[in-house]
Amino acid sequence: MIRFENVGMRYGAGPEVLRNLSFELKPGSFHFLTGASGAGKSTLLKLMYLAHRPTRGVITLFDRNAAALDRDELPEVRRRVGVVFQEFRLLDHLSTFDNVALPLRVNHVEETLVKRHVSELLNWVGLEDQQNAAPPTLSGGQKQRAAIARAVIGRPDLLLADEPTGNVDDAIAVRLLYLFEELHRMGATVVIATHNRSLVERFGHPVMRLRDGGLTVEDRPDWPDSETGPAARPGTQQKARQADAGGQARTFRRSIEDALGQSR
Amino acid sequence: MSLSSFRSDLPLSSDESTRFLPWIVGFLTFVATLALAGLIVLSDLSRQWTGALETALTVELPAREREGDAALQDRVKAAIRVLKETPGVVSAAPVSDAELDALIEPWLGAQSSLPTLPFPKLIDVTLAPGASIDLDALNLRLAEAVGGRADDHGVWRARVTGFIAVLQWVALTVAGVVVGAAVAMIAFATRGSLAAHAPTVELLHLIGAKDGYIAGQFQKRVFILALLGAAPGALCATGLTVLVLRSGEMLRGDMAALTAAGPSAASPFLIGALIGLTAVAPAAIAAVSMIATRITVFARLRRMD
Repeated sequence: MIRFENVGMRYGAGPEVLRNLSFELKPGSFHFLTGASGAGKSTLLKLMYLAHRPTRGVITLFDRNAAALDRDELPEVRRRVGVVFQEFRLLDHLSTFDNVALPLRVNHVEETLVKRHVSELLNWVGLEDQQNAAPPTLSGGQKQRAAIARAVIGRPDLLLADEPTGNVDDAIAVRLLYLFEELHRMGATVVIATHNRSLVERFGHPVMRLRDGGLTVEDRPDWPDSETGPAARPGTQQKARQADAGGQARTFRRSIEDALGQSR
Repeated sequence: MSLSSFRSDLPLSSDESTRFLPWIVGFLTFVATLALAGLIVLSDLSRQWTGALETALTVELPAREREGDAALQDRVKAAIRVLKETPGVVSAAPVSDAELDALIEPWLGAQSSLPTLPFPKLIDVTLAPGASIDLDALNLRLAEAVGGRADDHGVWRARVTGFIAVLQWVALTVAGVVVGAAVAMIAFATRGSLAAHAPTVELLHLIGAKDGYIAGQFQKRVFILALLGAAPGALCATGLTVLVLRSGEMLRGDMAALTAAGPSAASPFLIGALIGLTAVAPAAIAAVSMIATRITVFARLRRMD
């Protein structure tokens, strides 16, 4: 799916933010990406979704050398990658519906299909009442869900999320993680950058840890105190809500398969 | 075209850099169309003048000393005989003294000078359309028979058409410069707009938009704005041209004479050409603006990444 070989990255003449990264993510894998603030999580994700080019090393995405992709080939590759940006990056002048529809429209999907799939997905993420709302009028959690819907509407092979639970309460965070798990079960390779220790521990996926510009991959995290996120372990009520969210996610699995099935 | 095809992913409608685009394009289209309308008027003038002279010859019989009127008339008749024997000549008729007086009146005044000055006798010759006359051979025969010579107005025609051609080139150059200015202005406006929307453009790229998709958004917007400006601009320019032509006719007070001698708003060629120009100029300006936008967006997107 994606392979880094001795990849280094620096901004301008500054020090290397990432050094000698070498790893491979297999198709269908699910990883959390962690590290202290400034460790380079966002930079690593930007390299993965081809927003940046490495200063050295080789990145192979979908069996293609990213450096060898010419300009006309980039869009096709990028359409296979769904990204949930840290600051959402929703377009304020468009409605929630149009924001989520963007990946389909840039791919020239027929408008009747766009309407059907976007409506179904917005319904699934609980934004059916906000279809015509402008992003500035949405709450943080609603924006987050709209951003996630936009990232998954094209049914990407690789789903990257930069702190997708950073602006929502724990219950919604868990529900969003179940959404990512459902997409993972549908075949997507998922990488989620997060500070949220409880989520990482709860879902138990392998962890890619950035430290001092280097990367280690751990099957089960040994979480250092310096990287502990704001979320505490869930209480009884929270656990009940999270269990409910997990159930909902599974219930809607069929719905999202229908919603995304013909988007590509 | 469905309404959704005018939907834009970029907030271009609130774009300051293209706010005055219709006004500027409108003014530039006005100037360019005015220059092209002038070119059309000159073409019409040239067509009318040269067209009338293409089937005409003037034979000149220089006055001879102490030649009597009867001898002069004999020479005229002999010249007409030579002319009528020439293939391609439809008619040949002497210019009357009254007509000659009218011709020289602007220079010598209303009182006839013909009796006191040795003016040549003139014969108007009408040729069949498309007839090819061997002027040298005709001149030789006329010189031998009556001491006359024929003038096909070639020198005058060449000077007039040459002068008109220069004016036409000037008009074309003005139109070209104006269109160039419009292209440059649109390129700058597009660059400004792209810079203003760089984060949105980057997002569109990241979700898989091709350069053509992004350029299409700018193109559609600029095409509509340019058309909104160019249409009234072209209409005003051709309207002004017709107004000037009509004013010329009224000032002279002789529409029939003007129609015969020069361009007129009533000329079918002129009317057709001006209507065509009014229809084509806005579409052409809008199309050129759209192409300029596309080229600019593609070039800038390559630099932005």
